[in-house]
Amino acid sequence: MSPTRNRWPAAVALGLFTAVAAGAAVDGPQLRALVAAQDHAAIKALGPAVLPQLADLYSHTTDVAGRRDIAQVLYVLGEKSPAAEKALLADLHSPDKSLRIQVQYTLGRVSDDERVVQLLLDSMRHGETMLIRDKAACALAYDQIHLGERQKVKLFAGLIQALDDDKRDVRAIARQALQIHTGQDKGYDPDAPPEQRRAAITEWQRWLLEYRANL
Amino acid sequence: MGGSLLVRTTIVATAMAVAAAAAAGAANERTPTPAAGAAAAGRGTVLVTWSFDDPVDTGPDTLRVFQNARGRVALSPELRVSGFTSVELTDVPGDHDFPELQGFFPLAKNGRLALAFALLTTDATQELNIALAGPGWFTLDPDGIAFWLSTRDGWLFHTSDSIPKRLLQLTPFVWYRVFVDYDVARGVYDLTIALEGDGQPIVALRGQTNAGAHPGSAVDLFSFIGDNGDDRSAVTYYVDDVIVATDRDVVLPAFVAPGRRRFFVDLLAPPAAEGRLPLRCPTALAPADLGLGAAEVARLQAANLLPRVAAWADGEGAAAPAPGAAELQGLPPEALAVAAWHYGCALLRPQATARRDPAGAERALRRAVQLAPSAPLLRLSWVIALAGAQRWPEADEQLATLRQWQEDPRLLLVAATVAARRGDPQAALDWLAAPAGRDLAGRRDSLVLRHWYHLLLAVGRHEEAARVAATMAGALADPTAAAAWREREGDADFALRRLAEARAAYLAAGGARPATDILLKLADVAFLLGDAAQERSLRESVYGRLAATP
Repeated sequence: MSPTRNRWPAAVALGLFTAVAAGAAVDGPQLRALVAAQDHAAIKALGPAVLPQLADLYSHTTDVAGRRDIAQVLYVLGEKSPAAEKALLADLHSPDKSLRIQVQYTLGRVSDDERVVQLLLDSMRHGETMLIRDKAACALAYDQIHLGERQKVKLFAGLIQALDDDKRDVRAIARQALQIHTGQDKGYDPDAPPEQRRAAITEWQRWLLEYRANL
Repeated sequence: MGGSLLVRTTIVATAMAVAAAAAAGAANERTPTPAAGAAAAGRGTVLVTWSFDDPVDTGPDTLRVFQNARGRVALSPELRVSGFTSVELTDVPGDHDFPELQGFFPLAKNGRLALAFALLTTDATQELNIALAGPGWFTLDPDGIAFWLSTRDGWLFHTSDSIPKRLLQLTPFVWYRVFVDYDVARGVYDLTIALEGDGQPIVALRGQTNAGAHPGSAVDLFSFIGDNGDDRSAVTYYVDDVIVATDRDVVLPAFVAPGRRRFFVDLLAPPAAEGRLPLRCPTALAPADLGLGAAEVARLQAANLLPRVAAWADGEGAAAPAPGAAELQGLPPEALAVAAWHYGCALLRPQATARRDPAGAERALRRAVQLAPSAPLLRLSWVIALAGAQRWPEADEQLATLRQWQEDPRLLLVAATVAARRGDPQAALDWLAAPAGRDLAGRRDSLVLRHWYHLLLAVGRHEEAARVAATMAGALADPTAAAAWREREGDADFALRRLAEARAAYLAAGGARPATDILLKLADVAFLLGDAAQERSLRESVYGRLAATP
């Protein structure tokens, strides 16, 4: 028995602007102060109009820590925003590792853009370090909260392709992301000889065909 | 094949017979009981049957209701398929939560299990989710969701092999009867959906792979919710005549109190209180415990491996790779031994994404000992794994080689664990007597003392257990630790049926904002004191209330 409540799959804390009427507008300094305090409740209470404001603030913020704070707020809000997506994409290859990772995490939570999925898949496979690749996989596993079933096909297809990557760590994180999405691994072992891996990848490809056929 | 068809026919027939009986008003029960239909069918058991025509005693063996925020779960006379009321679930978007009706039944790890229920939605475009799941809860992992129905854009889907598959376009305000016949071992189910009053199924699927494609995925609960977390559903839907039946003969223990077949005090007790001390590797306190002398440490430092090995030695952090993994190639034996130890110990613990694997743990820890035979902690950890595999002679043999460690409390704990696990809690108490006595005298809140207390309960020495707990609760300065011992004192008093003392101890342990466990234990005390109103209030503060719409 567990007296605590266990959540269903895909349970995510979304922004819930659906229930929030547009609040009073705030000026730049006020919003900056709320972001610095990470006062998510107060920012949420400002309603959907705050999203382009946050995107604008992001674009006009020059210091890395400030941008990271705004990206974190957007992550928590979890609302679709083309303006935020555009602002964040400018830092997807930031030389600052922590900002880049935060941007990877946040992008899926402000967008249902297949281009974002492709960019994250690219980062997962070709990021310069294992850390960047691993965090891109985390973003693909946990944070693509706005994707519809058709868009998920692209995500799954990219992860299945990555099972055949030359880099062992990429194969392992792709397997893990697929496992998080589906609860399955189809017997794939990133350390197995190539012919064994190939057999499991074929299983995954068959599964993807079936997934697509059910759309 | 003929046999399985017969079984299928029998349990589904049983479920349908009970549904029909419920429709006729014959199964108007406040608590689930084995239905006469199962007995009439000659085999199997109806585990639960709910027609929702009366208020229900919620609890761990019946139902749990979540109606936080603005959503609602209530009995409703508005629409029903049988009797006088059904359950109405209403979700409200943007309220940060979702309503839920959970139902519990004995764990089914094999055999066949039938789930039957009636469903009506008022708006097919609004999301709802229904699942049959197991101890892995609502995930697609093994023992997680076995059967999952959901709605999207007016369609009803079932998730099979992790793929949402379209079933039918739902019509609002129409009752659908859903029958699931789940073969637990094979991890497949048959699904039949029919319109109320129409014998002809509109969905009849056979041999569907379960939700996460996991043969053997066990089940012990069902759940009805609105959306599954995105907080956008405004659904109102109705559920009636829920039946769960199995082809196994299951003896259901009697209810000891409303909503439960065991007292909360017993349900919430750790396995140690029944003599099952946890299978945990002892902690490494010094590099030498793991076979790392000065020379080995210097060698690891020179190879820039020390931080990685130190992280494994801590026993926490990122999991070490499995023995033989490519990443470990070229590492010296002392590093490989610590990696194998860390990996094996992790397999003894239940993981977020993986099951406990005692056999894999034993292999890894045996490998660790082969790599560093003089490291005492590795051998001690192997003994724990051998106990997990119930290989008692080997466990004894390995313990005997560690005589030089006989004063170390870690060896005594491992020896006690082996004894307790093989069913001899008295021998386990003997192993721990000296160190527990020292810790009690020094008022040290140690793992040894906590195990000692639980073993005293396991052998029925409740008075002594109560004294140990009261002594520690009164002596400790740390309020959290003191409260934990006060709660243990309450547990021992409850076992002795000293109810006033138990209540006082629980109230003292709970403080101003008692935790869930304390509330439930107080509900047990209230029940035995005959205070029905207090019992209900405490139990429903955790398990919720299923009553008519106000």
